[in-house]
Amino acid sequence: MNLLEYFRNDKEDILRLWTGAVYAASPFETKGLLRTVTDPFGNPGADMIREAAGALYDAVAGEETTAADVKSAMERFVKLRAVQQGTPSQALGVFYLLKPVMRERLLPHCSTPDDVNDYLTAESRLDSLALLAFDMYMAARETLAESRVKEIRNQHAQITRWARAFRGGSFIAG
Amino acid sequence: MAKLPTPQELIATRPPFPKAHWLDVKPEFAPGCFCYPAKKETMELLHMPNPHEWDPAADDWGLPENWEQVLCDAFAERLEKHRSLKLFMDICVRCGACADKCHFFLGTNDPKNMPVLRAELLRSLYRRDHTMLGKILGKAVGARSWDKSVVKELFYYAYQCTECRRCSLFCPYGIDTAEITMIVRELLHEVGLGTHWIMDPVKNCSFTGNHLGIQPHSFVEIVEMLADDCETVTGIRPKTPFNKKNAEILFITPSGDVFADPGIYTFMGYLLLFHELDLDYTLSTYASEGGNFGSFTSFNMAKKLNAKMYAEAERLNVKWILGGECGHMWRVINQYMDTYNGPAPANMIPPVSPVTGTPFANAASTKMVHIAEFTADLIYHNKLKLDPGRNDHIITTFHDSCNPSRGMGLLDEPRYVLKAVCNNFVEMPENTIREQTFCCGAGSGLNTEEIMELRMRAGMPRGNALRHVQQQFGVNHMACICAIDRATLPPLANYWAPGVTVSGLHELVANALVMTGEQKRTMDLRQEDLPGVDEDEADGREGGE
Amino acid sequence: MFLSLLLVLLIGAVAWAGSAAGFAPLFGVALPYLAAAVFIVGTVWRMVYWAKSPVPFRIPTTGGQEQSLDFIRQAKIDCPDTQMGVFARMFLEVFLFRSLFRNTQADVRTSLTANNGPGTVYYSSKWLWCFALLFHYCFLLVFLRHFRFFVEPAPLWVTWLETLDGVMQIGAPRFFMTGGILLVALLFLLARRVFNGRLRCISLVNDYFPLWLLLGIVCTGICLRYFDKTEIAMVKVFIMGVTHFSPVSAEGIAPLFFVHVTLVSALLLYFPFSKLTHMAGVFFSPTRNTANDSRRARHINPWNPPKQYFTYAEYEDAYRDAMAEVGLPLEKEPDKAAE
Repeated sequence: MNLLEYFRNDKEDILRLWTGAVYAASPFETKGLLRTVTDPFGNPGADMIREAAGALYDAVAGEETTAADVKSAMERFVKLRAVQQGTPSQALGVFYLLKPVMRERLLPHCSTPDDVNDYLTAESRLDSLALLAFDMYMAARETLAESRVKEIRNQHAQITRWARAFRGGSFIAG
Repeated sequence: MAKLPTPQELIATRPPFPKAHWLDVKPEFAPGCFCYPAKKETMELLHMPNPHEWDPAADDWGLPENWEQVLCDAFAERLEKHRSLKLFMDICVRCGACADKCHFFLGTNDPKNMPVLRAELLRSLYRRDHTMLGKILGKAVGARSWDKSVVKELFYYAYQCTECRRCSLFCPYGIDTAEITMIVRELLHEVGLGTHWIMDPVKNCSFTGNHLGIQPHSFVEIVEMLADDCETVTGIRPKTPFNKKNAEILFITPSGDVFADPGIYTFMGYLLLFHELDLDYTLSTYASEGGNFGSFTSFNMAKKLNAKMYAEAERLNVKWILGGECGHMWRVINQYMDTYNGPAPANMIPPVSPVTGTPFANAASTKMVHIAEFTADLIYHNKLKLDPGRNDHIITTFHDSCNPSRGMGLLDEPRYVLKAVCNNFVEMPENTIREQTFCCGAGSGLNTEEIMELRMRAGMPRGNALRHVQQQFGVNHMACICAIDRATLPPLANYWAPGVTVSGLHELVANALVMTGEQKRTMDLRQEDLPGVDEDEADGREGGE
Repeated sequence: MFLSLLLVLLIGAVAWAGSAAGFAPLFGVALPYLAAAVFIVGTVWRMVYWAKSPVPFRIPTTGGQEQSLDFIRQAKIDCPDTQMGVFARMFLEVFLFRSLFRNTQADVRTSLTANNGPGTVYYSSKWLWCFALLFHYCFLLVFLRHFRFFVEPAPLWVTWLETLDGVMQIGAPRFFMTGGILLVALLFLLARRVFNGRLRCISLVNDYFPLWLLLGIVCTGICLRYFDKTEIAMVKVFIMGVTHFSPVSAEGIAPLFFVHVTLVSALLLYFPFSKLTHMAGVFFSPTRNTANDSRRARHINPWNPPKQYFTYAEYEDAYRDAMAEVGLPLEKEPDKAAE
């Protein structure tokens, strides 16, 4: 059996362990809620992590997938992490929680140097994905900063136009 | 070898949910979690009790000497004044049905954002002073004493509730957290604790009539500019009657729609609609704010700001008042106005639509009609010539604002209008609309930019539902009937469902409205080109039709 | 949680020991009288306490379309504008727990996320509605069945009720379904609090105590009927004595009976001072028992403070010149106002 098959076989288990680790890192209350309510609208948080987990795992395993697909699946989860309290490392560190789980469940299967090589490649893919998540995280933070500015501007949008037209003349407008 | 923290260690530094009982856990005032405090001058100008400078992030909030007495007395007084408060303090069985109904809880996972615990913060104080078991057994039965950290806790969570009443809908006893939040905020104002984003508009609305404190002459000029824009788009310059005596109708809408993008387009929509109907109406510079930030402060402040409506209606000798699209404004008008400041002045009569002759019997006493009711009636009677095709480039959904939904029941009128002016209308998922609607996450005076992250978390359930219809049906537009929504949903949509634009209902109405003598429409009210309009025809628009 | 369990066990033990030691009249006669008095007076006092505060505003939580235009269909029950509608809403609320029933999440849409495979558990809070309803109705039926002990001869409807209740025809004495369901429902309500992290977080002694108390009552009741088979005739004579204010000797009645009676008394004593008053409170709830007609009919607030606001005259004084500049009509022209 090659590594990809091990990846496939253990998918359920590893994802369960990983999401478990993510829950464990979240406040106590999140755990109960994330696990019990499966309606995506009743429990948006759990829905986001599940969506991200599946796509992330497939990409790490080396399944046929595109960066765009993985990105769109991870987007909401990363965006959620981007507005939660905590440092950026805490927000994105959750991706690295997958490594110990993989090492425990998959690495023992790697008996030949080729397997180990494949395994290391898979871990590298996780690193790349974490970088991808970092981009998304930053984009999300940018959006927030931009929203702040835009909101202040929008609040007075009409007043600014009026000031230009009636009071400031071409000086401001120019 | 360098010793670096492992990812586990890094993440673990985020404090886990404490083992201690919730009574013993205190919130941390991290930036982005609290609104800026109100300025001392503002509070003084409004004669608020105990005005002082303070900083939520500081240890000492500079509470007055006798703060505990003030709060205890104020609480006792409110219990005497509100049966709802007594009842809601007594009868909660903590069944937990409300917990996951709160968008703040869903978004933040903070246990104290469960409506039941948010109320329990106050209930624990109630037990100590007002229940026999609490007096005798104290902490064993969940009673606790006031201390300064409790005040901070109350502040923290009273401003993480948007008074949307979603929990109240699901509570088997109808316990309304909005009511509790309002009263907690009242208590906090007794010791001089208020937020800038609420108190500043309150001051401005009180003294100048609009939330930004724009003086009357400037206000008029700003509205004139919007009328000019209407002319650019339609070739017709709508009239802008101000402070006109003896008009039939006084029109009041949130002033945000005069100043803020994209609310201004909704306001242009009103101007065009009224012009087309040749409505005998007037705007007022004195009562130019429909929204009532006082309702986020105290019942009395809400009354004070609201009083201007009837006062102006009396002075201008109008027959009835038409109210624009706004959320909390309509909660106040529907549930409080007549009680606060009624009965309506003698010159007013039960409203009747001058166009269709329909009497608005449901507004017979307040004599104030919602514009969605007014327009729905027009459309039903075929009084408007509409070309919904002009809105064909949008696939719209409709966001029910909390207050009109759960404090009024205005659900189908806006949908009726929307369906008439847009060919592509899709509902968001069933349990996120109508009376079960999710808040935008920034109502009740929380629409300030310093808590943007918090707003994104709290608005996540709404954003999620929006994203769902965006992916499933290609929705690219969300209509709403609330000025705060028009300010807060664009960043929310931009974050959780990028590509969805937000507008008021009457912006779409005016886009679809075929006016007598108008030029060929090549652009919408935002002066963006309408897709599908022939270039040649577009060139010919200079000469009119 | 354990504290409240211990408390209930303690009450039971005291009652057992006391009645076995010859204080049966104390537990079987004096305590029930006291409890009944406290219950009635206390509950009435609670209701008076609530009623003393006015309902200053009309604040129904509207759960549907308001009454407005003729062609728009009103949700007459969820958003009532008439007393009839309010009555219907309250009826559904009180008898069918309408709001808890509403407490459903719409169907689970797993299609939203392609990778979220099938087999997701459907979590619905209808369980709470279901067990809450079962609990309350069974409790009511069990209570009504007890009228067999209070009235001689037993009323016909009690006999019917018993026939219906024992319709499964299991065991002798016949097994009453309501007792069993009551026990199951209580265990469900308790298990929620113990095993659901969210509920454990919000639960107080005040929540566990009544549950343990009720469990104690139900368990002792079931024991008395099926296991420790009490001499029914003697118990009836005793109870009739108590209910007719001419108590008879309690001799020969098992101590377990007095444990049962004591626990019921404890419940009655506890009732007016606790969340159990929700039974009466639900009728007072202004978000449910008021009609959404506040724009059509004026609601009066008895403590409505006097109007105080920035009047138009003050406003015009502040901005008169600026208003004149843009040609706004004025009450007093600038030149006249200056005089």
